[in-house]
Amino acid sequence: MPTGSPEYDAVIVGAGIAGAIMAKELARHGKRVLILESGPRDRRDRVPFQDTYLKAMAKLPNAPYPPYWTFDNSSGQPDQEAVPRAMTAMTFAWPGLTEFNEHMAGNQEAFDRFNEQSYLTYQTTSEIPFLSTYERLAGGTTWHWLGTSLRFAANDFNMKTVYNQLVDWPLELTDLYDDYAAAEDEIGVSADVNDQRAMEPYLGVQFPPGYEYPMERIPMSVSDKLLGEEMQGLQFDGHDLLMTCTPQGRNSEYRRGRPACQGNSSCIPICPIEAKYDATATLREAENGYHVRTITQAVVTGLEVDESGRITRVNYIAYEGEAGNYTCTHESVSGTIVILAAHAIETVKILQMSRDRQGIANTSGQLGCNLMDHLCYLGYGLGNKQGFPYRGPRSGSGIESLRDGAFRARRSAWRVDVGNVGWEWADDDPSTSLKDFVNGTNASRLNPKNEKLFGQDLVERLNAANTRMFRLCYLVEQEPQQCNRITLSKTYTDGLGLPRPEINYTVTSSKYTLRGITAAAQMTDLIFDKIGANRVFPHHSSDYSKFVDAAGFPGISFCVDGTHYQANLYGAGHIVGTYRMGFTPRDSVVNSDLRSWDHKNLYLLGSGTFPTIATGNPTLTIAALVYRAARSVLRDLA
Amino acid sequence: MPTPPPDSFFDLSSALTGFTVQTLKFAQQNADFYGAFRSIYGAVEFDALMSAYADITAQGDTGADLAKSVLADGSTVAETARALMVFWYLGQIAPGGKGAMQIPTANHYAQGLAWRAVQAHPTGVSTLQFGYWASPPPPLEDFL
Repeated sequence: MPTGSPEYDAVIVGAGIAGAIMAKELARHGKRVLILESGPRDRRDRVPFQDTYLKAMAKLPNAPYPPYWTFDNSSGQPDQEAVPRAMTAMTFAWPGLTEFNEHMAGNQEAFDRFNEQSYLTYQTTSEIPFLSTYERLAGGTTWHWLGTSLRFAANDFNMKTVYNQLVDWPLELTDLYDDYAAAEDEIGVSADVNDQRAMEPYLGVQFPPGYEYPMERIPMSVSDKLLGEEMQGLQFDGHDLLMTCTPQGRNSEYRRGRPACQGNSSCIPICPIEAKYDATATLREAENGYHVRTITQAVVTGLEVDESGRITRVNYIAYEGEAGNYTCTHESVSGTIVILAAHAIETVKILQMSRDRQGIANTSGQLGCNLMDHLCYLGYGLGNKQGFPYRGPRSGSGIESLRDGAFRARRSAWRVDVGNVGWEWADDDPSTSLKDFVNGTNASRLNPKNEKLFGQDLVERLNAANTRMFRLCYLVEQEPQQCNRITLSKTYTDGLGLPRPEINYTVTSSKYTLRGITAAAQMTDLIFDKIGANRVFPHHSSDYSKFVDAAGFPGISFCVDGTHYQANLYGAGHIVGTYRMGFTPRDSVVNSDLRSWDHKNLYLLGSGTFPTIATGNPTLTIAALVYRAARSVLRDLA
Repeated sequence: MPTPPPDSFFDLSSALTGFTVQTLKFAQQNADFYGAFRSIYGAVEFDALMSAYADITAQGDTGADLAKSVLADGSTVAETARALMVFWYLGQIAPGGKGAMQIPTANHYAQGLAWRAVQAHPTGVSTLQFGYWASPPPPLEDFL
């Protein structure tokens, strides 16, 4: 083992938004920084990614990025790949509600068959797969993020104190004001602060006096404006339903070498022109402006710890070649500070693999626990008036007025992401409806008479339905629960022989969460009862979003407050909670500076540190917390 | 260079899809719908469709009547015709009409008529300027 001074001031694991911002911050202050990234780097200016996306039959969040996955391509199997990751395709491979209950629930053999194909493996006590995914390549999951850049509300940080629910964060919103501003500048957020201040009656103050966003807001789409007008006068749980222009991490003007958004509508999974921020922008600046060194295709296998608890070395496998035929070398590097920024699943895995897989950083027993996502309830239907979706950013507006309120003493809250691409998420339109109208099928339930259309009739029917599609995504706050956890699989490995994650995941064990889902269904009824297309399509059902796929997509059935419900659920891509921050070493893995309680020179970044999932999309807060942690790292290195 | 399609291919496709020959020819310039359909779906089936089309036009049918005949219950070429419609609209096609659908090239997706029919652009392929989405699109007729 090498001896002497550490080779770097900081070794950062992961070249996503957290790792890239940390690297830039430290290097900007003259520190020597190395980034180890498990995946490859985009070397062709996103052209192959875009081409793969356009040719993909299912335009899922993972679709443009390696490793590629198809059922009949063995090189896409998780036991062969060096850097497999959670796949949306495997979420679709999970049986629908009826089939799951009849053939898979609790059945070890059925779980084994699923686990063999899936990077994320599951314990038989799971009732649903973890619904979200992430990317393992330079730039990380910001490659496929939406760009939504909302600040959390004040009460998101104080749930226990205010509502006697969940847990408090060890910091307040006001502690993050400057860090939010720094993150909004780095990402390049387009918004009008007055739009956000208009939410103060519902969310409290979120901005200090005089604050302005870096760029002007992105205008609302025709569809969003129409829905906002049509909802006027509606209330739910005593709150007005208001449409708010979303702060977005996409340019509304040319800025820092990136163009203004041209509304490609494909923000998830790829912005072809880089108008939407992704972490490759920060990584470029860190490397080219501040001499940060990045080693890609370097998979960290564990951290070494000395007797005092300090992290002494970062061990990794450098790999070259193709799946099933890699050339690997075992490497090791040292840093005065070690920073894991590998997202909420891979970071846990690295810590659990350390010390001969006995694990480190887990005095609290909370490492890997409290896995959360925003559970997405899709409320969708047709409106009487044409909103002309499929134009503009994928989502540019939301209903934010129900993110907080007295109801949080009893049920989880949500924000509503208002979609701008028809029913694409819910129903894969316009593809599904087009095939129905051509072939006389009714998979979309838009063709109840099974008509077979052609010519002008086909055009007009497709137009009449698709231009009236509205889709609301309720991002339901999920309760942190210790039972929802990540451990190392004892059975399944990846292409480098490293253990794959094993997950236990349930939803129905939290009434607090379930009541949020039922509230989402009720508000959907309220909205579509007012705007619904009963005048245009009198023969159609009006409860599209209550349809639960028996065979096709994960769902849950449950009884809460005396009523039986069932719902399909989708993932938001918000992977949260698995190394929570807290007040003491007994209740949490890191402190409010994101420093490990157990290892003083170890920092853990990312949404894994969030004690609760809150009511905003996590990336902006991930970035803000990096600035807070960077100050602490710089103090350590001073 | 792909083989230029005969006019009859565009006439039949126009009757089936509801789009003008001019729009279809523009799409064909950017993505070889004719050659790809024939090679992936099957030359025998495609030639049978074109032959049936020739027979029907010889009887004097045009436009909607022609499409109705091609797609009629019992028509041996109706399945092929519907596969061609889906290909024009979505760029999706299954080899031999069976098995998994595929999109042969990015341009087949990008030229799909479905996006025009909903007065939009293909998701991922906008040639428009910042803020266009704040105004309604041109009328449907302009997209046909």
